Amino acid sequence: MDMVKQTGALQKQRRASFWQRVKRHRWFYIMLLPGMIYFFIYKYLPMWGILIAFQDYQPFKGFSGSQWVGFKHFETFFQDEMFWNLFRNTFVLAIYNIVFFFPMPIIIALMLNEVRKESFKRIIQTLIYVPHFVSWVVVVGISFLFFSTENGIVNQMLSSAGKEPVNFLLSAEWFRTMITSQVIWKETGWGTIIFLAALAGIDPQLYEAARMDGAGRWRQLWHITVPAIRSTIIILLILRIGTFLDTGFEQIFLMVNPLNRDVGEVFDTYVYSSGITQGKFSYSTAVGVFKSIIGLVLVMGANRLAKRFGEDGIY
Amino acid sequence: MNSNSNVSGKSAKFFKVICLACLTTSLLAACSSAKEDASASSAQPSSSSAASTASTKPLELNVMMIQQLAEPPKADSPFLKAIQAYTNTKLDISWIPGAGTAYDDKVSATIASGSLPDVILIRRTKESPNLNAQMSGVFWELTPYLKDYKNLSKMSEIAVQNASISGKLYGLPRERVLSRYGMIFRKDWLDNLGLQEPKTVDDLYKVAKAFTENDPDKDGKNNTFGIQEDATMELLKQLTVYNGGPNGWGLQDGKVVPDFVTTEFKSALDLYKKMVSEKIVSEDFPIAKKYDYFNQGKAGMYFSVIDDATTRHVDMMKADPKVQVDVAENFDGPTGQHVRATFGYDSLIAIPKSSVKDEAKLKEILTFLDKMGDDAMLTLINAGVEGVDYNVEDGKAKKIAGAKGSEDWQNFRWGSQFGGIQIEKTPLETKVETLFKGNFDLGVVDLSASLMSETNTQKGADLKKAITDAETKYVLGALDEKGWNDAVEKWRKGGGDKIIEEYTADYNKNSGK
Amino acid sequence: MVDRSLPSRIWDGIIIVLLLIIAAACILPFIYILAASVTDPAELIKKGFVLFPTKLSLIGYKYILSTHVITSSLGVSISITVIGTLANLFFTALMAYPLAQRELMGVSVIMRLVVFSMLFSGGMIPTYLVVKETGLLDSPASLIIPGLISAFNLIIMRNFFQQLPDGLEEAARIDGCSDVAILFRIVLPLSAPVLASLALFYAVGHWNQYFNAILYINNNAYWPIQVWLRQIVILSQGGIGDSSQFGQDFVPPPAETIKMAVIVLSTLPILIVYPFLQKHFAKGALLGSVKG
Repeated sequence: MDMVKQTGALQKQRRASFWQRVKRHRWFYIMLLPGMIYFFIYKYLPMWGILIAFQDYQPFKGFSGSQWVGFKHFETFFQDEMFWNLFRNTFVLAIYNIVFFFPMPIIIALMLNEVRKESFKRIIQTLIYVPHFVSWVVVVGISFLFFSTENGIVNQMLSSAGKEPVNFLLSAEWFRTMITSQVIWKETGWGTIIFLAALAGIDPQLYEAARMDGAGRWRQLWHITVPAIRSTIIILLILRIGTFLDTGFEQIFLMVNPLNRDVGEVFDTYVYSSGITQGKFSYSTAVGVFKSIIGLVLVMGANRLAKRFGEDGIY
Repeated sequence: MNSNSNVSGKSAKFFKVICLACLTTSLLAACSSAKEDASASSAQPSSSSAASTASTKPLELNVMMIQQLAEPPKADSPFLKAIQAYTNTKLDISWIPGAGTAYDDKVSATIASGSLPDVILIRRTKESPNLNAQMSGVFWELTPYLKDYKNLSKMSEIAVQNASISGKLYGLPRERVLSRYGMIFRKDWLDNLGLQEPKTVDDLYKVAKAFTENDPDKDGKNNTFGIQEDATMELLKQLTVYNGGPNGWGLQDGKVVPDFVTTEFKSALDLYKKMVSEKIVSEDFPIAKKYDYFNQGKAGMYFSVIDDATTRHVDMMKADPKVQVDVAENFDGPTGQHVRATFGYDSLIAIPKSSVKDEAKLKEILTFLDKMGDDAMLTLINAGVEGVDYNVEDGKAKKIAGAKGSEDWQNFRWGSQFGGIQIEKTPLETKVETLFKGNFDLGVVDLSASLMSETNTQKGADLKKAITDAETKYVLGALDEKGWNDAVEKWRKGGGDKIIEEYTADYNKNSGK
Repeated sequence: MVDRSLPSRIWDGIIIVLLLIIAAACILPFIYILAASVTDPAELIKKGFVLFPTKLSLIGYKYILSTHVITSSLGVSISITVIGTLANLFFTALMAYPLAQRELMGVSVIMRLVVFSMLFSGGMIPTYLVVKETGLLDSPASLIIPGLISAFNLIIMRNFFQQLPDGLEEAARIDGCSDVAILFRIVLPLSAPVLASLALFYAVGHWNQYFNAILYINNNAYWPIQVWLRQIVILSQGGIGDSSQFGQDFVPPPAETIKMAVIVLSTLPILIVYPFLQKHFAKGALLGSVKG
């Protein structure tokens, strides 16, 4: 909003120079054109689809033929006795994700950055990047193999150590830990890539100079390495916050069962099962719109906060 | 360190060369096979038109069909040629993979875009949006036409009844075996223990307990259990039916009620709970994969469609020749024998009005579909191509080893899977078929299959989920008697009573007619 | 030059050990998949979990390579991935560069619109209709153009462009370079690390794509390999839920061995890409590219 005001003020001040400025930067605007056309056609044209949240949309009737129902789907959703339970489950999982998963790629990237032997670093990088390519169906399948109480390897080890078996998969208390650990296992290596790219941009002369000044490795890390990737971290954090309520449907859908549903059912899995019966498209769109609005508010807040701390933010 | 990095550099280069080589060969292969495809498909119309020049011009049809296997049928498949020649058609078939939700999503998107094929397979026909699409006249209503066709007029009555919406049929239901559910078990374990095939629910429990405690595999270790179950709790559904209760929904005291409010169900549930506590059913059943424990030789029986016995344990029997798998469907209960039945059909072959504008074209398509029910076509779909998939010996089709059969062309079959030429079968396959046919009248059909309830369409699935959760928790001991009763009460208050009311009203209306 | 003090060496040791443990944890399940993919189906079905198969079998790989779609769809996948990724990078860079200019009017508005498009989307059916209206249905272009620029990647790239030292561009401008020339001659060569990461993100996205292919394309000659491979994996997953109402008469599911072979085959080609891009992530890689 501030920016819009500013540009508005600028326009008034120097109306004459407006076209001059456009002309001077004409190549920039020409470069922007293909992208803007793309976003307009494939992202903004389909956005009428958001309006079907206020309809009883039926594919065969089309958008114009479907009945308008106002906020009916939103009311159904908010009045659903599951709503607050779903909200809590989604929210807690999202917090777990940001607190436990988000820092992992950064930490691993920094550790890799400390490794001096390039070949070792590359091998480790390649190995930790593998799990990203294992689909959720397989990750969950492997988790069942490892953690089941019947013949899971983990429980076999526990019992040979004389401990009681732990019901990792069929209990509410372990659900969030399992979900978050799976995410960490699968996505940490993949997540390091972007930070490694940022670290590759650091001028080695900076380290050289720091060493001359007698700075130890901790201080180099703290004063050169971390600042170099700070803006990347902040951008990624803002973007992650925007998709705060997206918990990843497939993984949770596969992991949830009657004994952990109280903590496991989230918006995405709920929409999948209820959406099908409740006029599918409109209802799931309504829940999606709700999630997006929350995301928008959070992104705006996070961006403003970032700017207050002197960062660039996203816009 | 230096030499080290040198080596890795060299091997990296070597790697690069190999990968490039792979890439180029695969790209080249792609080119050549694409060319073959093109020539094959261009050759094909000439052959089919050659076959039909004598008669009228072949009927051109766009078809959207589901693909169940890994790869779609080839464009020059002998099945396509045979079907086109026999029915005098030219088919342009889009095979869409059925795994996951992609097929249903594609159907929705295609319906939304308005450019539908001439013939389309729709699944989940009693769930919105497909239910709404049928009721709003997206597809032709076929009821008035069927009587004019030789085969279509003789379609399975139960399939037609269950696939209809308020007595109207909007597509051809693909007939499926009705009395399809039963028990699959290890005959060799039974023999090892000197036991008889169970005839009652009591026997069933005793055998399962013996499988758990008496070392049926004779390896001296206590490493087996009775019944493999998974999250669907098929055992519970079948026990209820054996007790004389409903399959899903049934009639009791003049009302259409769900199984879980009946006493037959409750005693089945309590038996199930007992079996879990005695480790006859393993405690991790909500996350178990349906066939795993049975295939691993840990469990002695499971409950499913009994044709699973002939397809799911091939590798297991190959690995251990001692393994004998057998099936059973008939259990004596207080009200005689009952078998849990399917809906008798699967999906509808529908004809959209937007692409098929007039009755004349509709009738042409129905003629085509009617011909697909002829013996010649059923033979083709059920047995394959003579000389390629089977040879005829003593009037029976004898499968040629390694032949692939009709594969996904089976999806075009709306008639009986036993139609056409008789196929020579293994003893187990013969037993399965005998049970299917012999137990037809014992089948207990879910009464709700042919009934409508607005409330059920709206939130039946949600309500049911809470009940399924409660069942699971109850048998695992995570929910007590009161908790279970509360769950049922909550179901009633949350809309269940209304569903009962609506189903009952619809039932009375239909039977009153 | 290099710090060889004792605490520093201990520090190195701890990091190396930790990284080894993490790498082992990451690779172990994949080794299980690899082992299972070459285990005799009968052994796998009996034991359920095999790390060291006693009886090897390549039946899974043989089966997959014997299907008639494998070669052509592999060709489609590779073409889509290569062409698509190049197009993605070109158009993302073209848009990100002007957006990285702080003094350009309208940047802030456009960035807001970009972020908005990340959070709100029209959904499957409206997008399908737009793809249809723009004439892309049944064309392989429908697998590339509707996802030409990812808002996420655009924001990342813009952020990297903003981090570049301003001096270089200024100098080039004074030398008479046009804005377009600066992007291609100076900015992009300096951005190898971020281009490499985004290339990876885009390439993996293309490689794993299956849903859009099924949705937008009827002619299965244009379907990428993931469509078939996913079908195999889900089919052999089988047994979850009740399939009896949905057909599958007398169609035995593919064996677990085949599923594992599929997973290996569908992962390996894209896994190989990474080592080639790695040199751009080396320390001081950026500086090297300036000098080179």
